[in-house]
This record gives sequence, structure tokens and C-alpha cells, in this order.
Amino acid sequence: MLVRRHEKTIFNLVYRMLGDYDEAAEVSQEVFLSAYRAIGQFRGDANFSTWLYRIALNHTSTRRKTLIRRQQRNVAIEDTEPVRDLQPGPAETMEKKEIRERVQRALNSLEPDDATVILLRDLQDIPYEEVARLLEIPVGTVKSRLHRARQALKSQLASYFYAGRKAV
Amino acid sequence: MNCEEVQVQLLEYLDKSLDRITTKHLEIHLSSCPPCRAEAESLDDCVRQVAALPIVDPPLGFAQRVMAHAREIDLSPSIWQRLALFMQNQIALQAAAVVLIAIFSAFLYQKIDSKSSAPAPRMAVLTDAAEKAKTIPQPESTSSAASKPVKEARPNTAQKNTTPAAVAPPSAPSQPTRKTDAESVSEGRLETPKRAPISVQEVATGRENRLIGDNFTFGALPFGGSRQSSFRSAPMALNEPMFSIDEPSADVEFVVRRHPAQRRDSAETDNLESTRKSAEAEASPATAAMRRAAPPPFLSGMIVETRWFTVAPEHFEQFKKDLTAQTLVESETPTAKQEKEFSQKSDRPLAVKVVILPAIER
Repeated sequence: MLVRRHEKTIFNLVYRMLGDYDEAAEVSQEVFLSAYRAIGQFRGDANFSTWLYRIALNHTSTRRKTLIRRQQRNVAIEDTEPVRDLQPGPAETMEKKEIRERVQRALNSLEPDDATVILLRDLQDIPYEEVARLLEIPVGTVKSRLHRARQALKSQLASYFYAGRKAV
Repeated sequence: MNCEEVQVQLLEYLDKSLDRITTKHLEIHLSSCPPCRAEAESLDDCVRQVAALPIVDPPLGFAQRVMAHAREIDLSPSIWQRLALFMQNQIALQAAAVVLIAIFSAFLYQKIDSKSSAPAPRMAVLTDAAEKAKTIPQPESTSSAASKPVKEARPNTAQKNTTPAAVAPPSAPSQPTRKTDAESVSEGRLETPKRAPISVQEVATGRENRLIGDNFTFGALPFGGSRQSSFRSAPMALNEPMFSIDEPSADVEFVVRRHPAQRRDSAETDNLESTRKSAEAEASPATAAMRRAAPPPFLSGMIVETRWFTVAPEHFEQFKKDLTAQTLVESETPTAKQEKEFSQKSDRPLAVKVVILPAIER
């Protein structure tokens, strides 16, 4: 029941953090199994989702480091491998698809902490206070980190937006 | 509101968390400041693009797979249980290793100990025997049962006849205190280089411990049966002068046995007394002096007493006759004749030692 309730949010967070569907599926499964094993340690003083997010972020961070090391060994493969978008939708235009791929690449190129803050706040729409509890940092730090992360993401996407606006 | 203030408020403006008045002031600035407006628009694009990322469905059957794995976890032991099991196995292995090491070290220790101490027991036995042999000359050091008769015999026979000066010198200088076997062994180990093992000493010790007074029969009684069946060195003791180191050397030695009818107390004393008196009367120029001496070491338990006489050479034959008449002479120094002649030539009295053995009881 808990798996069904949280599988989408956890899977999407992990997927956006890693940018790889299969890796995301594997890591998400590990997250739920870890939560299942450690369910006795859940004290109930926080939201279950927050606790689950924390587990997911830990697993994702570990896997991301592994992937980065693997990608550093296979740079060519990584460069040619496109970000998978499994739900293109028949009515979706090529431009939208390109934007999503760009955004995903930009997210993956960010520092993990910055990407995490952006995904938690902008994708998951989690309030600042909850993000602060989840990351165990003050709310002010969350805000400043989010501003810095957005600036970094904007820098990553600047050429696209510039070109897009020019085209528009 | 200037550009810096707008940059500070821009995050909350995009989140739409600013109050209305601040929002209005900020929008006025943005409408009049193209760089700030471009910055705000690009950031807003980023937020919208991230938020517009589609929700991706997990793989089909994801939840079922997770639950299946969870059931496996239920059935299989947890990592802590595995760790505990591993530790238990390790503890069992460690215990087994400790036991094996203990057994092996004990085996090695025994092996090394047996190698290093292999000669020690022999030396200990030998030195122990030497220690006992060393104590043989001391009447006090023999068994109390064996030494008691000698002690009791002294006042009856010798004390009244002997002068203090004539008493044979005791073997006090070599009076060792009797030690326990353990002490002997430990000393023996320390002194092993100094002592040479003598095999006969053990026989002498045995003889000393198995005397008449002990009621111990070694085949036949030493003087109750035939002499041939007695201890090995008994003939030697009878044929050769039985001097201890501290005793004066005798020119002639007799080993005599009391007649069966004779009593140790009065009769025997009287007979010997008469012999002594006759010897004294006949001795010249020096009077015969009967001296009581300590018995020879290895006969101390069976000899009644030992008497010393100084006899003039010309009276030696008479002395011998009297002795033969009163006792049963069992042996005599083979060189008695030569000793007598030598004594005559050198004009000095003969030192005669009479070892008196008990009568054979029937």
C-alpha cells in the first residue's frame, strides 16, 4: 500500500536525479526495500514521505557517484547516449521533447545538492520548511541554495532559451 | 526599488510568496529595467521547465516486485542476523582454534620438557642415592629403629669401660642434616657436575636401610641365615678392615659373633670385660685401652658394638686365644701375622678392633 502510494514520487525524483530510467527503477526498488527493512527505525516525528525522500536521496547520491565514475571511464558512450523520455506523447512536439531533454541534461550537470533542491522544490513542490527538514539544513540555506541552483540551471539553458527566443 | 533589491526578492517573487505591495514595487522596477526583467524571465522559464517535466510512471509491476523482494527479506535472515550468525561461527572457530593451540602447545611443552629433563631424573636418583650414602656414616641419620639398639647398648657396655679420650671420634665433621628427597633432587641438579655417580652406593644405602632392626628380610636375614645369602658387600666388610674415614686405623681386626648362650647384658659384658682386663694386664708398655667406637657405617644396624684394644705384640696370641674362647671368631684380618711382626719390630702396640656381632637366635 505504501509502495503504491509513494512509488511515483520517489521514482520520478530518482529518475530526474539520475536521468536513467533503468537505474531509477533499480534504485527506487532499493529505496523501498531499505525503507521496508528500516521501518522499525521510523520514529513518526516526521512525515513518512519525508523519511522516504531522505532514503531515496541517500541511495540516489550513492548511485549517482557510481554512475559518474562509470561515465568518466566511458565518456564517449555517455556523450552519445540520449536522455530517455518514456512518455513523449503523440501530440508532443519535437521542440518540447528537446526542451525536456535539455532540462534533464542541465539538471544532471548541476551539483547534486543544487539539483536536489531544484527537484524537491520545483518538481515535487515541497514547501521550504519540509525541504529544510529533509536536507537537515535551515530554510534560509534552502532558499539561497535554490537561488544558486536556479542561476546555474539558467546558465546551462541560456543558449537554448536565447536561441529559442531568437527563433521565436 | 533598485536592481540589487530586486535580485534579492526575485526568488520569492517567482515563488509568489511576496506580499502584494512588494510584488507591485518589484513589477514596476522590472517593467522599467530590461536586464532585471530578462533575468526574472529566464529564471521563471527554468522553474516552469523543471515543473513541466512530465511525471514518469515506474515500470509495470514495480510495486509487486518490491513486495516480492520484501517477502524474501522476511524469509531470509537480516544482515544483522547474518552478522550475528557469522560472529557465532567465528566465535566457534576461534574457540576451536584456541583449544587446538592449547593442545598443541601442551604437546610441544611436554616434548620439550621430556627432552630437556631427560637426564635429570637419572642424576636425581644418583644424587639422591649419594645424599643418602652421605648420611650412612651417621648413626643418627639412619632409621631410628636401626639406631636405637646401638644407642641403648652403649651405656651397658662401653660407657663404664671407656675413657672420654678413648672414645672413637664421632663422625661429626661429616654430619649432614637429612634432607627431603625433593631437596636432594634439587640440590643434586645443581651439584650434578661435582658428583660422580657411584652405583654401589645404592647397595650400601639399601643395606643400611634393611638391617636387622628393621625386621626387613632380604632373602634370608643377614645374620640369621647363611652369610652367602646376605648382602653383596657383607663378605667384603668382614674380610677387609671396616674403617670409616674418622675411625683410627686398626692393625688387626676381628669379626666375632657371640655364643648363642651368651646374653648381651651381663654375661657378654663380663666376658669382654675379662678379655679387656687380661689385655690391660698383659699390655705393655702401654696398657690396653678399650675404646668404644661408632660402628662401621654399613653395619651400624646389625653390629652390637665395636671395641678397640691396644695389645702388646707378645700378648697378641694370648689375646686371640681368649677371644676365640669367649666368642665365635668369624673372620680375622689376613695380614694379622705380618702386622704383629711389624709391630714387634717397631716396638709399638697393636691396634686391635673387635667387631661383635649378635648371636644367632635359634
